Amino acid sequence: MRTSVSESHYTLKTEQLKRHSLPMACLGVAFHSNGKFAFLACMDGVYQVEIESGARQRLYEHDSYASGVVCFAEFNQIVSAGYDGKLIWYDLGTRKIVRQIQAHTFWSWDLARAANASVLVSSSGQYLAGGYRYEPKPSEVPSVVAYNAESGEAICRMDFLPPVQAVAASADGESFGAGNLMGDVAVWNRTGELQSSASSNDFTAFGHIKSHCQVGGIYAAAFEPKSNDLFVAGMGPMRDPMAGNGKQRWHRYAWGEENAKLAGKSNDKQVGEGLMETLAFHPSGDYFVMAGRLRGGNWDVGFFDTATGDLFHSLKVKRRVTQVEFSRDGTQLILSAAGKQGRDPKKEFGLIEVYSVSREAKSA
Amino acid sequence: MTASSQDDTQRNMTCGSPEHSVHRRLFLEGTVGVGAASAASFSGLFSVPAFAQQMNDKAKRCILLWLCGAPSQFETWDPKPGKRTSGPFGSIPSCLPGVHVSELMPKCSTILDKMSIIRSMSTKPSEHFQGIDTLTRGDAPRPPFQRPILGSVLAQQLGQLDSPVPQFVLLDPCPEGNEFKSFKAGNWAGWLGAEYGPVRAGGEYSIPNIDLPESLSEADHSDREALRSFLSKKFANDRKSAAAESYNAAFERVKGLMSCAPLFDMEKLPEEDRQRYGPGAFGLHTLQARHLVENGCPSVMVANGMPWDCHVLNHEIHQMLVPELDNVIFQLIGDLEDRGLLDSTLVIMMGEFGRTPFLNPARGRDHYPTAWSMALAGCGIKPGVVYGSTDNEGIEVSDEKVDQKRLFATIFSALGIDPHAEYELPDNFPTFHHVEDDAEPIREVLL
Amino acid sequence: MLNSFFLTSDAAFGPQHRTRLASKTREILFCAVAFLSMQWSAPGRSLSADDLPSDVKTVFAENCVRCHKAEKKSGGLVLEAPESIVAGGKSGAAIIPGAPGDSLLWKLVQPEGKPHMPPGKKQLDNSQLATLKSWIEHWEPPKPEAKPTTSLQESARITSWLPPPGVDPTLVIDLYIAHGCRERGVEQGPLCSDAEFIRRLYLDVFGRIPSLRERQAFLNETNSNKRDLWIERLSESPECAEHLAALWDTMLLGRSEGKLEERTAKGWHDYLKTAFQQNRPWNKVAEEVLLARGDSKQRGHIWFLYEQSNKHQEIAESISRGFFGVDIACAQCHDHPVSPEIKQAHYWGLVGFYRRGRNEGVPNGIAVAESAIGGFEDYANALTGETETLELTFLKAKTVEEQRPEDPAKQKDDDDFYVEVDKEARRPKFSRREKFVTEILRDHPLLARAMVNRWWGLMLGRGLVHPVDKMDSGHPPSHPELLDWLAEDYRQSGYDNRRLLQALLRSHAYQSVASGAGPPDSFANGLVKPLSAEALLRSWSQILNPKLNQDLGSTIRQHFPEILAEEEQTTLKQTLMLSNHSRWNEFFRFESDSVGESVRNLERENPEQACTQIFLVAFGREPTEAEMKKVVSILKSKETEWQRSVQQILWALLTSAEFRFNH
Repeated sequence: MRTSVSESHYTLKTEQLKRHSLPMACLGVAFHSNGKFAFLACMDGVYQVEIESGARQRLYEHDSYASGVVCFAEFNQIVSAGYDGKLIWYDLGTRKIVRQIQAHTFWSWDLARAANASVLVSSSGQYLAGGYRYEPKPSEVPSVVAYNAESGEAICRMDFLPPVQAVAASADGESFGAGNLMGDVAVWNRTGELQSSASSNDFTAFGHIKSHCQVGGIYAAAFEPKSNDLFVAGMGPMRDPMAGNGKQRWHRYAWGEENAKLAGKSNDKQVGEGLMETLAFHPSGDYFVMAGRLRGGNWDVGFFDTATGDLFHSLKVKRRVTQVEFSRDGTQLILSAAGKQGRDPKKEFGLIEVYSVSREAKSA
Repeated sequence: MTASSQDDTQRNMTCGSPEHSVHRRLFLEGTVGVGAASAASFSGLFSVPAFAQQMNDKAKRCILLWLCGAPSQFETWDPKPGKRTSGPFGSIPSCLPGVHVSELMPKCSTILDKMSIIRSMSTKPSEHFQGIDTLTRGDAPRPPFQRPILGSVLAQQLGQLDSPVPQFVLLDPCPEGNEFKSFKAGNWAGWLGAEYGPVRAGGEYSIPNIDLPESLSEADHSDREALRSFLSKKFANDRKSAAAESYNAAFERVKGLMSCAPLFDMEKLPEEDRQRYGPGAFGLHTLQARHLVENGCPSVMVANGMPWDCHVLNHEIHQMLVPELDNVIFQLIGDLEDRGLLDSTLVIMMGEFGRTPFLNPARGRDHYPTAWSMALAGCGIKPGVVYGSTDNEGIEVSDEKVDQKRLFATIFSALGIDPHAEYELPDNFPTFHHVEDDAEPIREVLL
Repeated sequence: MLNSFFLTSDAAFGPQHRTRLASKTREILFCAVAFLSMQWSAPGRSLSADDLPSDVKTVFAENCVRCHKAEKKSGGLVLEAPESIVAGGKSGAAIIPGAPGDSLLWKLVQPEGKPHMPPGKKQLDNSQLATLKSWIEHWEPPKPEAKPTTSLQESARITSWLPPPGVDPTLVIDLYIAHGCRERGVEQGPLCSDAEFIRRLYLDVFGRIPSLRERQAFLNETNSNKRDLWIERLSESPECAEHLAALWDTMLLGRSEGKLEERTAKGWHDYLKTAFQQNRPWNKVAEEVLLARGDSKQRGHIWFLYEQSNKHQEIAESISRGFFGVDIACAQCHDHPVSPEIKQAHYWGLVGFYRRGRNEGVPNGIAVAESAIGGFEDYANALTGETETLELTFLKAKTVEEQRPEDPAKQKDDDDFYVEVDKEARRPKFSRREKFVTEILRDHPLLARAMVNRWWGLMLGRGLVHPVDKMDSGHPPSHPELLDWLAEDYRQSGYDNRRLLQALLRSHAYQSVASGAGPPDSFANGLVKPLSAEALLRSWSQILNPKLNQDLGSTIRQHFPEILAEEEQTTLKQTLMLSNHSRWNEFFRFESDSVGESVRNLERENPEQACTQIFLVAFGREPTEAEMKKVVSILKSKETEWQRSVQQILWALLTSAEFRFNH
């Protein structure tokens, strides 16, 4: 349990309720809105886990890692994405796969849903040498695709310089945002029309002292529920790309105009080092979580006040945190993580943790 | 076994055919005659078909694609689809029945019948510097004696010291590279002496001060260098100084290198070739390596810093590096074959070890010398062989372990060099051989 | 045997020393010989972790020493050095040499081992097991009576008898070097000639060749003690301090053309120069530089930290390299793979000591302020994937205790944490930097050892430990006892640089003919030493034109960056520059007024005399017959082009190996 002094007008209290391991690394997690189950995208398939008991069931597999999963309690289905480029719809009632779509010719890096359950969006694209300094080569196929969540009907396909490692959908399902290896950010509307874009050198390393190629980039994206600003996260540039010691980092973009405006960013004094690969807003929109790997510093799950951008609470999981999601009522938080794969096949290195989250007004 | 072919090599390379001598003389006279324009006349020289033909037929040479940092065997030559160690990439069948390679290597999968793959490399050093040292020199260090690096031995065995073309070239656009940077700063030629050390080029391919200054005539340049050399050699002899010898050796190469400037000019290479190999720096340098061996350089090593050391984001970086490597190997072997050079050119593709079967929490694979893969093609190599194997998860070698000594015995044998020959060394040295302990070459991959 | 050794070494000291040997010193020396001869005939003298094969060390380092290290000693067993392995643990002997099956360690690392080692599920793989097995089968452990040593090169060997402090270090150096040669069966070379000596001395002490007049003054001197006199005179001169300041600037901060002006403007060069000119104790200099505080006037010493502008890892690496002679960069991600005494905790500990520093401008100029909070960030071990807690520790020194706030990230800064200082940067009451200086640096054995070794390397051409910034168990000293003695003598003399420098210059090893015979690390003969960029510039300028330094300083420094390279190797970049660089070639042209007087006014009518003159100017010696013949033929053959011929000859001399190297 951790409580903390806050920079903002409230304090946060988080308490670990559950911790369950899974056989292989978990790359994505989704809460069922009834709070009883979680769905996991793991290297060895898609799992359902009963949160209370930890009882797990492997529902099905992708041809490669399952990389993301979203849950639509609205029509009792989950949708998963994988490094096989497929999206798979699975019905929780019939326990059957409803539909499979080959959405991409390469990995699905990231999968996101709109809060109103209208759409889901997936990003892809292979990093291939496109220049002398290994700038990525433009893709021949669209790298971001959006589907009607219920029918699986394609809504729009967007071209964006691959690899597109992070994608998001706004709460109303009207806007899609994405970030790529080179630190580019883009927002499209539902017809696939580019609304706004920006570019930053804050996330990408050209591995000067070791690897003359591009490393890092944006690994997480999320729309803020109220303002609709796009938040993206990753890690700062590194001199030695293999140290993995870029700053834990997020940016906030106001994208009302053609050129998105950088409207805020993490304070370098409040962060440590390591790749951040997930962003999640509390349903209230008052604060958000950025999480990933701790390489140097004090936390791997950081809680930031949306208004001020200040870190006001943190957790140390000591694993690579791959995804964080709040329950719909905002009282719980679930995270998926990956540890070090051991030689022993019986050693499980996937992990989920569930926390209770409560907020108290700050007393004078 | 290899004695006769070695004799052939030496006769051709060290004595030179009459034809060769004529052209060399023409070339030298031409240089003197046209002064500062020597570069142009040199470039013209290699368009003389008879000369190129002479070189092509006889000389043996070697290109080492040095994959520094150590690539993952799982994502290249030894995929383990469906196993927990596999990683996210699948495997594809190759033109050899029953043999699969990573799906990241579609082009190589079609020419595996021109190559030999060793899937049972098993070595000791697990850190870069020691790994690089061992896998480029062929043996663990034995201080204070410095074993020469492969390229230097080949420069000595296959090359001719009086050639204007550098006999050992390192092409590396990334001057950095952590441990590789330290290694590059070390002594490569070892006991062979600095004259067998590499000419280093790369990056923008510009070698500063390679042109004669305006204030100086070609004759002045040679005359004063002759005197400098006379004085310096006396000093180096009197003082028995390796440092002074290295100094003199570096001066002796100035003139030859100046005459070779066009060889290092990327712009001189056909645009179509650059398109095929590029656009990445490693691909373009490999093209440069092909150009150099075509023009009389017996030994070229191509590197690009240390990009393969994927402790972080292994798959995210391999998805780019492996397809580039796949294409580069495909183009190089194809070009050498088209030019009739594959039989006389050995291509070696390897790093200093492999990568762990197990993933770390930073999405990376760490160092793994226990079981890894490498590839060979061309001169002296039996095509279409897959030698050795690992267990079904790629954790241990299950069949026919190969260490650096057997690998080097194989490399030397493929090039017609006696792997067990003794080095000629000063009296106060212990005995050293090309390869120690009578390590056996791998007969199965040799022609 | 004693007798014969005495005679040999006595003869080797040469006339200069003999005249200076008081009878008292002779007695001490004789005792020393007796003791050392006895010691050196004892078997199993030198042991270190290096006696473990590197592959075995790697297996231990990766799997065992996390617990079985000197600091932790799980089960009483330490697997870091042969001595500690022989000693075994609480359960008795860990290894029975020649009998893996009977060795406890071997049994416990088997899959069925009880308790299994390493603890938990981790199982050594077949190749690691094979490594251990073959090592146990063939291992010849050190004899138990052998004295223990520690793996880090500290003064553990001083427990054995050594010449008493206060003896002229030159005598001790000569003694140990002579004896080392005898032991290795290497013949020591004779002393060099006066002409060779004076050129060598000027180059090493002033960083330039002597002028013709300076050379002649020495040669004309009749005092039989003149080498010592010149050593004293030159090493006390401001020109020496200037040269040493330039060397130490480069060795401590590295070459950075863009920063050179600022290093002068901010007083760093002057600070170093004064330190050498006034012969300030090196430990005081180190303390000032690494504490980086100061009054309003003296600020030069702050520059060392300031220039590295808050890059705390670089600061840690430069401190370790420059002041402790240890390269810790390898330990950033895990304990040093080959020298296990260098821990990752040391790397991050040293970073921790400096992590609270921040560059600031203060009313009096620049300062490196220090915060009282923060800097508790964990670091990750790349081998285990675990994160570790930072501790304030460094290389075998103690761990500095510090109160750790409950949640470091939340700690609020407070004026109460700071000492009040006027017009100065903030200074915390608990200053990590100060703790480092007072608790770690002060009297750290490596401070003296590293400096002694560096002086030795600079003057003799290679360190007793070589390279000089890798003083770890992977690089054992060539003369361990001598290094121990010199370091202790240096410490007891109050870190007296000049005393040490003069002692080195007086030694037989320094004054030997640079013949190249014998192994370099025996110091039986002088070594050929490359000139630093600074020495090249000064020497070339002296002959050609003072403008050279200004016009080509940066080019030359960039092309010849090394000082005391591990192994000197010439690059094509260097020779291409010396051959073709256009501005450089200008300096040889009479038309450009660049060529100096001594060459410009050569006797055209007398080529022999001209040749002699030009050799004296450039090489400080007369030409040989063959050289004379060759040069004269050039001068004669191009009589019509006298200037061009002289230019060519001059270039050939100034770029020849004889000029490039000190010898």
